[in-house]
Parts: sequence; structure tokens; C-alpha cells
Amino acid sequence: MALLEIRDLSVLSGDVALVSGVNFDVESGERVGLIGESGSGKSMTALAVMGLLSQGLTTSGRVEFSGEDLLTLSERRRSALRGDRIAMIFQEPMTALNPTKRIGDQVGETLRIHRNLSRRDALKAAIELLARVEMPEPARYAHMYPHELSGGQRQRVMIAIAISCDPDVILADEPTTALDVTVQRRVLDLLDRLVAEEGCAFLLIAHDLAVVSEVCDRVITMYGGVLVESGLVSEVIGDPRHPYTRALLETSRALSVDGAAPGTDLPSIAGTVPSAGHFPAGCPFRDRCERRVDACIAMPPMQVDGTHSIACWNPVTLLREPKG
Amino acid sequence: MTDTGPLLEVCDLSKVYQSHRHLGKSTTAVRNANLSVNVGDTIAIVGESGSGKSTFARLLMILEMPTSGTISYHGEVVSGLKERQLREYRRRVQMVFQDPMSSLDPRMKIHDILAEPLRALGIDVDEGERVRELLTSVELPASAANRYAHQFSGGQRQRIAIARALSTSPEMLIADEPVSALDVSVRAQILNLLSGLVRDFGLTLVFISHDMAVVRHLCRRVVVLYHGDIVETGDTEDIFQNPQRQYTKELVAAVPRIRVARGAAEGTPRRT
Repeated sequence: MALLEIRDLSVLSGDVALVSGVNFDVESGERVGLIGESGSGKSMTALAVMGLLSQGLTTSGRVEFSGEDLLTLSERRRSALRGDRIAMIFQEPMTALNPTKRIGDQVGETLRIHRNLSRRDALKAAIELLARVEMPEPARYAHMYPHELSGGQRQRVMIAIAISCDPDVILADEPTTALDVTVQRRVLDLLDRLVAEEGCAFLLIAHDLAVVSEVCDRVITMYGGVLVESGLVSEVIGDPRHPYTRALLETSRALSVDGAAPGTDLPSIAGTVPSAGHFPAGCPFRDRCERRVDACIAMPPMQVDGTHSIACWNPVTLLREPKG
Repeated sequence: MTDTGPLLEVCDLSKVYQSHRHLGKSTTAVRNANLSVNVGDTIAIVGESGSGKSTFARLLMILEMPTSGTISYHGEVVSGLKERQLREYRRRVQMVFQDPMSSLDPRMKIHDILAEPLRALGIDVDEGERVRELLTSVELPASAANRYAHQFSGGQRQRIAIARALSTSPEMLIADEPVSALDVSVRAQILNLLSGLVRDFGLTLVFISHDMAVVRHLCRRVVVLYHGDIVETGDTEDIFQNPQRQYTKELVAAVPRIRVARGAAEGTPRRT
């Protein structure tokens, strides 16, 4: 049985589905990337797993975490798991950290709650954690406040909090998107190393395909609140079959340091992501899709081919280039 | 106006911030910068956070006073001028900011956002017609004029910010990270729009960015800033093929690359 099993997960706001019928597994120690544009339902999926959805949103389906259904757990039991066995890293560390508390106290808080450490022991452990995330002068930084840190340092603090209780799974929602490329590189290298050292499962949410392809084993594409493709990085990034993944990949390839020639128009996806509740019925991508056919007015079922799954009536044919 | 000489010339420009008056602590954000921008140039100013690139942009827009050095436009010194004397410069040089949510007034209709620069600078045109033209040039429907900024997506808001910058028919655009808050496909759309506008209106572009991938696509020249110093300048292709400074190499190497298996770069490095 997988560590995290998401079955038929839906998130509803009134009668508008923000996420519908999502199914996927995360095995222990596995790294899974969740990609798609803003408004695809990636963050909503992660928040549903964490039990952090805002009030007024309802869920259905199951999120099994080592045998327990996270969606039906009591808040008390969920709080016991959160921060201990399931941790989350948010995009904007400035809003995720408490501006009125010192860094050392915030890193140590999880240990005080879940491990019953004394204030003194928690601070000692926090300083060690800050050293593990390569903060310069950890003992000094432990006494600082979030506003005294740079964006990259704040994200390191978030990572230190996430790994403090040796979680089984870390969810990271766009952890490097707010950082500039050089800082992003250092934070990605750090995350990559720590996830390997901890041996924990990792669910990375990012719109940047390059970031996901560098860090993850498996990739899942979401659009309009549904899964449209999933598979190994070599399948979904190497040879995407869903027109949406393919379009994202073409844009990302062109817009990279060794992409399309300067001065040429970049490929982009026509139109914009509609707001929740305004996606077309059937396949949510059909209005923007170049490969749409009459069948697209109905939602295509997920077709499984080994490790590679797609939900499309008219998928791109596999290239199956000989690997050399 | 003479056609010889650079459009914009930055001469020995420095900006020092006093962070503590009594202890005499100070931060040099830009140090002895020199730069010539010719008509039609597309120049990127790149560097990481804290390199001084945004200060540089604000100095060029005369939103900050330089500590020393000068900025000349069409051969005339503009740095240090009073706001009243800058009206012509404001008309000819416009700016696009990073975050289109905070750079657009949430209480103003798009029509007023686009017409405000015309009113402020006393440019006598048919407002309604000009607003329609501007919306068309950024590929938004004319009906957008009656709506508010919050009714648009991030990419559409950045189109509105670009339209506002174009309202005074400027010669030069200074854009500070205009696409870094956008998703990849929207980013591609805005970059296509910007390069089209630069081509169609013959604009001169100064583009501030930390992302070498974006820069490579849009700009013909690159200026690399590091801790307030210009450490390297050159044609974009030269900077990519043959970077002279270690820091420039790091900037290029930092950009994530698409891989088809973890740990392996995709194929061999491609040459274009």
C-alpha cells in the first residue's frame, strides 16, 4: 500500500467543483511533481491533503495516509499528524512565518508540540536544524525575526520547520517561485539533498516544468481541477501525450536558456485559464486545445498504459524515439 | 534633437543609502555605473536580488536622486531636475512594474488608468479613441475600459500596465521584472507582446530581470550587475556563448533545465 493514497478527491465551493475526482498515490520515499498553470487546482489538492482548506469548502473522496483517512479524521488527530508526519512548505515564507516570533522559537515550536521538548532543548535543536539548512551563524539567526532575513533565508527557515520532526511526507507548494534564479538554485539543491537524506516522500507543486523535472521521479499534470496526465518524468516530460502537457512543455522549452532563437515568437497556449466554475463541460481544456474532437464534450476516462496515464480522446501519438 | 549620440547616457552613476545616520552605516546600491543606450536598443540589466538592479531602474526613471554622477537624455542632463522640469522626460520614458496588482489603482476603471498619464501631462487627444487604440495594441477588448483591475487575471493586468506605459507614445520603456510573477504560458504571451511592441513602435527597451532565459529571448544586449557594480556587458549571444565573469556563468547555470530523468541533463547542450 502506498504511503499516501488519494482516491476520488473533490473540493467543492458551494456547487462549484474546484478539484474533482483526483486519484493518485505517493509511495514512501518517492518524489512526485504536480504541474499546471495557476487555477488548475494544484494548491487546492495539497491544502485538502493537509486539511487546511478555508472554511466554506467541502471535500469528498478519501486521502489515505498509512491507513487513516485524513478527510474524516478529527481535527485533534489531524493536528497530531500535521507538522509531525506530514509537513508543508508554502510559497511565500513571509506570510507563512509569524512576524512577531524569533526564528529559533518558530523552528523549535514543532518539536515542543510533537516531541514535548523543553524550551531550552527545542532552541538547541532549532539551531542544529538551522545549520542543516545551511543558515550562516545559526545561533545568531535563531534570535532574529523573519523581517531581518532575505527571501531565500526565510525559505530555508520554512524547510527547517518542515524537516524538524522527520516527516514521512513533505508537501511543497511553489517553494522557489518567489525567489530569483540564483537563490532558487541554492534552495532547490538544498531541498534535493535533504529529501534524499530524510528518505521522505515529496510532493512538489510547481508551474515550472524544469524545476519539477530536476527534482522529481514522477509527474502529474492538472488542469481545471482534474488530472489529465501522469507518469514518470521520462514519460510526461520526455514524451507527453496530453495536448495540455505538451503545450506547457513546448513553451517551457522555448523559454529556457537554450530554447528558441531570440527574436522568434514563443509558442504559448491560446487563451487564458478560466476562473473556477467557468471551465467547459467535458474535457476542461477543450476550448484551448488544438487537438479537440467532437468527443471532447464528454470528460475522457483515464487510460492507463503501464506507468503512463492520460485522460484525452485525441492524445498525441508516442514518438518512442530510440534512446541513444 | 540630433540623431547622433546615444539616446540615454549614464555617466559614473552611484547611489548610496545611509542606513544609520549616526553610526555612518551605508549601502552602495549602484557604484560608478556607465551605460549608453542607443535608439532601438533592447538592453537587459541582470543580477540577483540585492545586486542593485531595481535601484538602477528607479534612478533611470528619476524616481531616486543619484548620490553622484549624471543621466543624460538626448544629450541633456535629466538627473537632478525638478519634477516640473521632467514633464517631457516623463512623456518619453515610461515604466512597467513587476506586480500589476499593486501598480494599478484598484478604485479606478481601466479607462481612467490608461487616460491618467494623458491628463497629467496635458496631452490633448481624444481619450476614448486613445484608450481603444491602447487596448487593441495590447490585445484586450474595448469593453475592458469599463472594468476594474481586480476583474482581470495577472497576465491581463500586466497588459493593462503595458498599455498605460504606451499611452504617452514613449520612446523608451523601462520594465522591472514584468513577467516574473507570471506562469510560464502567460509569460510567453507577455514576452511576445513586448517584443512585438518594441518592433512595431520602434521602442527602446531597458529590461530588468534575474532570469537569463527571459533575457536571452527579448534583449540584444546584457549588462550584468553584481553588488552594485557592472561586472560585464556585451551582446546577448556573446554573454551566453562566452561569459567572461564567473558570476555571469553562475547566473546562466542557475536557470533550471528540463530533464527527462533526474540527474541527467536533456541530451547534449544545444547550440543555436
